[in-house]
Amino acid sequence: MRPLLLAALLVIPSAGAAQSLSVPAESYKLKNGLTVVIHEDHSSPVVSVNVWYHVGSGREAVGRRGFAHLFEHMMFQGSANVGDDQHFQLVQDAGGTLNGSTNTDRTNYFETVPSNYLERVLWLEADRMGWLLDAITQAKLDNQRDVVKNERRQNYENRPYGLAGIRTNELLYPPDHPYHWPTIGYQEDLSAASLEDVKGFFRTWYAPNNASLVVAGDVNPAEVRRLVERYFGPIPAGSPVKRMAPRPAELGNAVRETLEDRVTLARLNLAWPAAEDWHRDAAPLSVLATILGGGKTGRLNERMVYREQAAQSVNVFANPAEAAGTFSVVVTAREGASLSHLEREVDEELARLAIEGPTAAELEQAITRTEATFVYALASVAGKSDRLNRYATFRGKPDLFNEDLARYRRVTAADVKRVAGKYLVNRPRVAVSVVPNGRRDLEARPAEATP
Amino acid sequence: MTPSPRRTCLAALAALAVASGAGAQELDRSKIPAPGMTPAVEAPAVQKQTLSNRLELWTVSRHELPVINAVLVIRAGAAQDGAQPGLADVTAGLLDEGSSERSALEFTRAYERYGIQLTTTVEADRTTITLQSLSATADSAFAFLGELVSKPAFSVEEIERDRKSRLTALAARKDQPVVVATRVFERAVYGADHAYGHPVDGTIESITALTRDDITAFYQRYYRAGNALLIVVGDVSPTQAAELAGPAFARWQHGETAAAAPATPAPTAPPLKARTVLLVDKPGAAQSEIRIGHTGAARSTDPDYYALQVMNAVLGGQFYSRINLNIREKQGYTYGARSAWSYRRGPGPFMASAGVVTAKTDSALVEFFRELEDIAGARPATPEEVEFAKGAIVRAYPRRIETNQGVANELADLAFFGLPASEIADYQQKIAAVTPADVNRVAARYVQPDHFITVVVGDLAKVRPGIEALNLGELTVVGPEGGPVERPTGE
Repeated sequence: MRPLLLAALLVIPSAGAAQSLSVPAESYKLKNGLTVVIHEDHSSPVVSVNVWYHVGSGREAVGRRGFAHLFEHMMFQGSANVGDDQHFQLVQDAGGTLNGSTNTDRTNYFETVPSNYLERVLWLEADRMGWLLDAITQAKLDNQRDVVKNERRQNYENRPYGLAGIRTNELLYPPDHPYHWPTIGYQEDLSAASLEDVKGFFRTWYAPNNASLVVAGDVNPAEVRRLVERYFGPIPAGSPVKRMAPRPAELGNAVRETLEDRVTLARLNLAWPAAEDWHRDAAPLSVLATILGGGKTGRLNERMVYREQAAQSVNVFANPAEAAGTFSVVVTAREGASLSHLEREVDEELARLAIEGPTAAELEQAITRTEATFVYALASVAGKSDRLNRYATFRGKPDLFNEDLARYRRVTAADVKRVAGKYLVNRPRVAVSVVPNGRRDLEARPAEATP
Repeated sequence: MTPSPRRTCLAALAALAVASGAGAQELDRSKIPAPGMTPAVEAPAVQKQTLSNRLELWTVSRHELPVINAVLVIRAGAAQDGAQPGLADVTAGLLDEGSSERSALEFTRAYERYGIQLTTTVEADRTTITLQSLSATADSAFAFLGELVSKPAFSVEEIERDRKSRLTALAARKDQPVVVATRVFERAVYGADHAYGHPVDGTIESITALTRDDITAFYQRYYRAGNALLIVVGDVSPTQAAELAGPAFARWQHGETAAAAPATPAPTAPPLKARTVLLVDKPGAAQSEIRIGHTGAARSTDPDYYALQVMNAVLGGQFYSRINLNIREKQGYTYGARSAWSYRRGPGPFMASAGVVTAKTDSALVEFFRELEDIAGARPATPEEVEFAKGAIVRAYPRRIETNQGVANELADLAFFGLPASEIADYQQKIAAVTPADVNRVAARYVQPDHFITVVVGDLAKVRPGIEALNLGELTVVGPEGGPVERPTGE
């Protein structure tokens, strides 16, 4: 029997038997279109401010790939009333923490500060939402371009296997697909970015009507509404923004490629086109990923890492994004183990799952883990506001915890079996082998081509 | 965007917002809004108990979420490895690889079925096991934790499986410049034979040689209730925590002999060395990984500890600090540069670090040395910098204790170092009491540019000439483990 969830403070009793999970939040829009979400939680004297702009690297033009993320860096370089690097200074002075992040679909900015510093943070966020361009200079752009190029070196170029994931997506998605290129971009495109690009991007995407602000924590909601109107109300609306339509990848044929790298162990990246987020197959695919690769007892881990010990590690990801989804399996081989052999083992396990389906215990474990993770994520106001904003931005409703969780609770063994067959077994996929320099003999080759 | 079904409600809120906006004064955005009244921070109320087997138990009740977090600390880590680097790490890693009651896979399946999370970490002086569970499954969660530490099987089959995995990981360690740089740095600072001079995960030679007897002897000696402490934070009362922990750890021996283990003297700092530069070749590397520093201070270096915290916040302990503002924000050489004091029972390392673009490796070293020498004397911290750093640390306090895990981590640290639980509340005042003179005194005392050990992992064909020209000390090319280069690098 599955342990029941008991979410004391957060529960809104539901009519059904299952426990429900809720983070009560009020939500409204300013006249300029800014979505505002307020969640009250006085358990600690802190507040989280979390702003999402509904634009990511998927919106970039060829020749300017990596720009959404470079732009994110520019948002920390001051605005009309905030000096260069003062954003960091003022949040840290408050004892706060801050950061921003960019993915294919959205860019977010967030701070957690003591609750008496809420107004300062709202002022900071409003100033850059409304008046960023007054402070942008060529020197700041050049500096942050260098920083971002170093970020690419740090996290991709100088990291073992760092370029394999980038190459996998380039092969999985056609060149004009928003997910073809990496969020970090390319050095030559970063070099090409100009001040005019910064201005154009800001005007197109950073209007309040394309943004969502969450304030969660030790606050008085009426006071928050007053402050938000005061600081964000006067920011003019921009042109309407059209949403990115779903565009699943279509891979006509299997694609193989081998990269040589300064690595000791060979690694295989397998990737399939899968369902975009909130598609009916997205939750079953996520459960499938857990059954295959969740911890030591995932099917692939148990067989390849634990029992046969031909693999050093196996990771399985379902990544349902706004326009399309990806399902991937990443296997790192033991020294000398051939990737062809490991690839066949993955295929055998996928086929077995598609024929037999998961056991009741596997399904229960995967869903219970998901439920627990939902609750653990609510430990901080930052964790809550991130989820509230995700729901607000992509689904138009912040407190979607229960509906989201219900998607996973509804998954049946038949669903898991079905999506394994529909998306993975004998379906065209990308296989990128990363082998130590000079060791092409380790690469994954199609079954008929291997001796 | 889809219209929301809350239109009525929205209209009412909008009206309220407009009304209050109209009455407000003209907004002057050039003025930074003043903070409101500082909110009261409730210090966690810690209940201390000692179980019958001498396990020290600290509990904090927090009922906001139906979750319990626990941290179990064993007072033994890599410093207790002796001549067998990796022994503490191997022992801890095998804890969840089967017990006297069930196999490795059965054990993992049993706790994952409930969404319970169990993780083990080994550091220089301690082994930490963290537990996260919904309070509804607390009974099972504590039973698993107890089984994990008091009944490990250490089966030969699991030891060999684990050894194979570890040897593979160690062979691949040289692929990661970030790991290599820190490894080489710590070995150079302490010397390979010092308690802090070897990597937590050991070496290929030591892991190959470990036997089951070594592991069980380490376990018998250090894994004793009397040599451990348990912090429980969350949806549980102190009485319930004792009722959960009591049966769970009932079979865990207190260990008469090991009770003396905490009294084992803390490792002492080796003598400071002359300036040295160690280079590791990574042909074709896009970046150079830089490490600069020497031995730092022990956590017990009270009261200098607080002044050091403030000093490092000025120097490189946060984004808005001298090192990062210069090397990242002014020069653009890196994605991030920092300095850190690693606090241990004995003096842990003081280390400044960054990954910098290959072509600017020498320039970055110049800036690092400038900042480090400046703080130690030439350009001491100003009263404004000290005030800013103190405010940042003091006001971060409520955020640090916002979550169960945050509280548990803070308390585990205090309990481990033998500090009173009240320290969690007194910390702000002690930081607030630090003066600019204190900061500059500890900077001059603890930052010693004449003794810097510098490590650079990068493409030596490109960066070596520039580094040599800086004369930062005697220069040696070493291998990825910090020892002699084993074969020509093909430059």
